[in-house]
Amino acid sequence: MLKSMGDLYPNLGFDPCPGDLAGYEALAGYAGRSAATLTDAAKTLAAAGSDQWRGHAADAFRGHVHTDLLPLVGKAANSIGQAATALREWALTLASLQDEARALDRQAAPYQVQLTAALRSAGLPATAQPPYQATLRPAHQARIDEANTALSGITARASDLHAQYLAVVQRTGSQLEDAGNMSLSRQGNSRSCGTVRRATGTPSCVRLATSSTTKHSGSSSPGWPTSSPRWPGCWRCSRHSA
Amino acid sequence: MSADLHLTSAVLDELISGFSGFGGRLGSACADIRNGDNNLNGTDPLAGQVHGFAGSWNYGLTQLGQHGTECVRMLRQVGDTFDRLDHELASELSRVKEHG
Repeated sequence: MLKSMGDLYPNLGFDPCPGDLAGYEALAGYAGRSAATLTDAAKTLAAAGSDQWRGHAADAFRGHVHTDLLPLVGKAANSIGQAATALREWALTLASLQDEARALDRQAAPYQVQLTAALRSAGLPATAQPPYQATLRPAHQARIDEANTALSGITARASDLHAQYLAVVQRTGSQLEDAGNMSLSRQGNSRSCGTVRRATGTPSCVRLATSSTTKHSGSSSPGWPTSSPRWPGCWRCSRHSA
Repeated sequence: MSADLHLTSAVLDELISGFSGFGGRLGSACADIRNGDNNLNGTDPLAGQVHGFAGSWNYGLTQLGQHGTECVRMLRQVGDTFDRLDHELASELSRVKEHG
């Protein structure tokens, strides 16, 4: 259950660095695990079936995996890894800022008590703000002034803390945005994926497989240059299209 | 003969298994990103950026996973084609032998 700002920092009266620390720690953990999973998957694919499947089809398949698929998996791992790092650093900074905020709230507590007591003994409500309606006795005035001065200093430090917090929010937001900009959906590759689905829906790999067997009978496979084996209808486009 | 063909069903199975596993891992990575995103409530200062990032990569990884699935289908077609060709060549040789 969420606590209100007053519950979290009753003496400061505001929350200088709001944020669900546990949520960010969990998120950083999830992102880190996701990046590690992708890195591991890329290693597995890179090593799959090497040298044990030979022929033009094998060369084309491996070429496709190494040229088209693995770089994207690597990019995904990097991007998500960057986000995980940014989130981990953010969680550490947020923890430190919230520790400082709690320390300031504790420092403010005795002055808040002193102010409330002085106001009440002067016949004023605890929430009264200067200039006060009643004429105060010098002893009351001195205690109230002392508490207000101390609380003003603590509030100023809490405001500095909030400014630091905003700067880190902005920096982390930019880092997450940079990491997100590496995603496939923002590079137009999603459309290319559709191309792959369509291309592979045709019997292109039959052509791929037969190109090797027909090669030694002297025929050639149109659109499938054997000098530069490639996967037909490659999703990345014009550079690879036959 | 210039082609140097070598393919065993064990190698093909290994490749299919590797690419099937790849799709599964991407699915797991997607789930992790979604779970992490769900941990933050909408009022959190970075919730917007995290949500945008998670949405983009959830989509991107799903696309990569589908690509891996297509690779599996291609590999299965390669295996089927080699099997079919092998049978066709065997039949052809039998016919030649019968008529010869």
